[in-house]
Amino acid sequence: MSILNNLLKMITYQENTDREGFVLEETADDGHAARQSEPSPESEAVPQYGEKASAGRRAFKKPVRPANKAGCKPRRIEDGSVAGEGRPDQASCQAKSEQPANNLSVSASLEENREIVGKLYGLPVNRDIVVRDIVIGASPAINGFIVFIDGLVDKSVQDLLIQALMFFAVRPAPPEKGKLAAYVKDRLLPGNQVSVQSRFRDVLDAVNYGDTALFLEGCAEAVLVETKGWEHRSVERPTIEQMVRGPQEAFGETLRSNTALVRKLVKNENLTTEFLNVGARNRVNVAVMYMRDLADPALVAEVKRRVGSIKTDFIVDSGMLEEFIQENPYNLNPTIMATERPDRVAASIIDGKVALAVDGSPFVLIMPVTMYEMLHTGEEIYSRWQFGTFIRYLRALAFYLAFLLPGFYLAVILFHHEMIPTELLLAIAGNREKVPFPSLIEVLLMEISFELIREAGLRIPGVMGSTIGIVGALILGQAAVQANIVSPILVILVAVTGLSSFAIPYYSLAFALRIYRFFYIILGATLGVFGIAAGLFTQAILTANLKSFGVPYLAPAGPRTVAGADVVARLPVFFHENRPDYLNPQDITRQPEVSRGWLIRKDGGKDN
Amino acid sequence: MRAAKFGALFLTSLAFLLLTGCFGSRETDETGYILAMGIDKGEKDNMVVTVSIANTKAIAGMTGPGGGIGGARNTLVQSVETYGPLTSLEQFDTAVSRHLSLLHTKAYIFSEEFAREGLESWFGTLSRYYELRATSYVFVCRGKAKDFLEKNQPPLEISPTKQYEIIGNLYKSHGLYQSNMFKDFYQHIKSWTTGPSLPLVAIHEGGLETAKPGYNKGGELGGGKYVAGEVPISGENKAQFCGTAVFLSDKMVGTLNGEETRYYLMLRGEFNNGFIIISYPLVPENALGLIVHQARSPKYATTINDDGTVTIDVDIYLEADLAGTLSNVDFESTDVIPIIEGAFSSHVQQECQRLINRTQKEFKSDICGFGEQVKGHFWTVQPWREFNWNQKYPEAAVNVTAHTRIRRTGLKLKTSPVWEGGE
Repeated sequence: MSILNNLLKMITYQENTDREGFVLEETADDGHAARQSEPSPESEAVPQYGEKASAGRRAFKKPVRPANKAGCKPRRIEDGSVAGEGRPDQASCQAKSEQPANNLSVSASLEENREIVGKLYGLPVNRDIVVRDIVIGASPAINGFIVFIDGLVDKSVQDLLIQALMFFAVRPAPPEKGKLAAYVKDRLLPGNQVSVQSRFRDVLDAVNYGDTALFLEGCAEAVLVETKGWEHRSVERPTIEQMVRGPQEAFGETLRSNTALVRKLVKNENLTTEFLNVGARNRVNVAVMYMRDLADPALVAEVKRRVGSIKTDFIVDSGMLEEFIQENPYNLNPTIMATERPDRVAASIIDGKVALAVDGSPFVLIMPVTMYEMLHTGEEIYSRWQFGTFIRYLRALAFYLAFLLPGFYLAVILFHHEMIPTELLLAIAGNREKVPFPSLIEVLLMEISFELIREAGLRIPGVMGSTIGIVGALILGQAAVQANIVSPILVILVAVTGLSSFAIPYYSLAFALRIYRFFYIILGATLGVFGIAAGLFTQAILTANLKSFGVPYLAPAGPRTVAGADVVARLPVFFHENRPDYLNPQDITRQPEVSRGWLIRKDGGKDN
Repeated sequence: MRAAKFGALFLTSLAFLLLTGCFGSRETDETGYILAMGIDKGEKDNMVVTVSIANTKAIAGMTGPGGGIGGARNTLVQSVETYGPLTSLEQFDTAVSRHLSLLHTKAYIFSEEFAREGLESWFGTLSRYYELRATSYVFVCRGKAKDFLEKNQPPLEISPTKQYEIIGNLYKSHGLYQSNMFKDFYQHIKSWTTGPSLPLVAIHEGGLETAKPGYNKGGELGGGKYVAGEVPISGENKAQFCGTAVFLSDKMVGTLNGEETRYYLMLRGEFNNGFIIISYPLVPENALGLIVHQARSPKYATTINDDGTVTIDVDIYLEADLAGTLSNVDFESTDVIPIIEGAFSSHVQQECQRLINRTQKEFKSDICGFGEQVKGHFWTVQPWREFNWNQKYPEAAVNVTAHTRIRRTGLKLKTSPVWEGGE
């Protein structure tokens, strides 16, 4: 009987609980609840939309994994334990609700608050946390202290605030001490963003992000004053996505200035910036930006659901976030686009897409994207449409050359001599006569050298980097040919391949093609054009299978949908009448059919 | 499950490799490319096969410090007496370190002696071989193909393949020879409508002594009165391409000279351009040169008479530019041009008729492909084959009408008379 039971058990579906898969550790509703428990001012600004989104969110319910929930019991800090005691093995299953400060409220006793702050920040060991006692000059005078992190705050703003509290606060103190915080906020502090919080979690989040917290004697709330002012890079020109025509601004590392750069381009009250927190340890802010009246609510909900569900301890760059939220991380092709240009983000948002800006990362994620959009730069739209179309076709050629050329060369040179014109074949063959390696080794040698130059050029310190990269390539190529290690034709071939891969505007896609290239080299060398055809077939199927936030990666070509005026060819801007169909925007119309009003003459053109 | 999937994928790709991969690959430095193959009649065995193998090192300029052109020869010519062309490839492999490949063979050259015995079986053999390119050119060599391959060293070209390719297209600018690819010739051998023909090549060892008397010395007009091997050229390269070898079925039966080849091309509608000299009726001692283009394809009208004979009317449309005008006549005048046109038309008609007479009486081979037109009278293939066109062609009545127009007078608009002194 037990054998039968065992057999039945073997063939019955059982969820694999050992391995990290794509099953969420937490249901959508859990995540939602967690976020609702800590509302941020931004999300309050759009309560109506948030409601809508939560309805959509429930539709994406995923199975719960009970084992993990059980293995991660919430820790309380009633015993006064501090954050530093968190054991590393528990970090992976930490939810926000388990951090020590989460359920601690601000006490009415100043001394108690000071003690808690000291414990939470590990004072006095922790030296960049400043706790400064002040006496507010109201009558009667009120004792208090401020907490801030040295280096994160703008000292001039802070001086102004302290000045206001200590010297100019000559009004009588309110009778009820409990309302003191609100009184200070409303009457005494000239800071531009001041809030009152009663939970230590919120206070800590604000202080960690450069705000100054003010604790007052007898008041069970803390006043948080916006004093952010750390050292940061100013807005500079794009370094990766350079272009000739168009705005020359790039994102920096500061989240607020990044969102402002977008908002500067989209002057519309419907542009919504929601904030989410990711990373249990470093609690990085992630801004979700979209047009409230354009973006598909289901898309926005899905983006927020995915970001909200992430449980990790540390996120620094949007690249890490990208990997956490994309659908097909095992495929080489990227399905989320990262850009450093606010104008691209603005254009995407206006199309009905969602942008994710991660604090500290100068690359903003755009989703969903198709492969065609990854071959765009946005510059085509700024230059004249003929130029844009020409560049797009050139880029399409570069796209194929970048991953097919070396493989195709090998296929032809090894299997299909009849495909090359005789003169060319004789030239290739003649130049190969002195090369001691088989063609495959020759190609691999060159390709790997090229990759080395590429990588080394990035890593060589300082200004000599790019110079040494180019010089290295030239010298290496020339010397390799002279030493009869490789044939000169191959140097040309590798150079063209390299140039083509640099012509792919999106770095991740170009990187994917760089790796695909090696697959095709092997296929071409072993199976000839048949192998390349088989590889292309497989790659096409795998790529067509990809989705970016539900949008097929090859849309609008595979599957075929309405193409629009801006896919491969770039038609004149006055033909761009609709937003991309696959985004399912709330308003598909971008402009009326006759967008150039001046063409319509009142006199029917008789004036001419 | 995932491991199983990957395993299956791995096995599939391994099967790809083991079942189809790797074995067909051949590095360029393991291959010897035969650029031209010549076939002569053998003394003790069937044939002497001569191959011209590309010396890729020399072609790419990699021999020695001074570059390849002055040093080693660009081709390596070898001959073997053997049973057939494919056997010869194996026999050559005993002496050459490379696998010899026919993939880039540009020309097959058969000696006249060999061609007169019939080419069908060798063409059949070659066309079955997977390395054959049916777009190779085929030539008939007056004399030995072996000599031709050994002595043909085109001084302007790095490799002989370019020579054959250019020659294959150059006929369009003069029409002194034609161009026939392997596939066309093989198809014509089997055809019930068109007789096969091939361009003639030869080595001309001498110098100017083969010249024939010119127009003013009682000879013929035109520069195309020669066949390959006779054109009076002295110079470095001894190879000549001129004229046409005419075949009946797969056996060579005769030759056309360069001039006749032009009219042959005109009748087929393949004449592109050429310099034709006619005698000017008003000043007969001075010839008149015209640059002639075929204006449009010829029109053929065919009738099968009640007694089974066939009448074919061919209309040829030509355009000409005035070129060589030796006499001091105002050729540009509108009075003169119709006279030239008339003279030119009758010249073309006469020459075409003469050519057709030769093909009917001498060769009995419809190389102009009139059968293609006559075939239209038959609904199915069987009655057409019973009609037996190749037998009927020598008796067919062919009338050629030339429609010619002088379109341009060259760069001159008017010729003024020479001032002949004050009398």
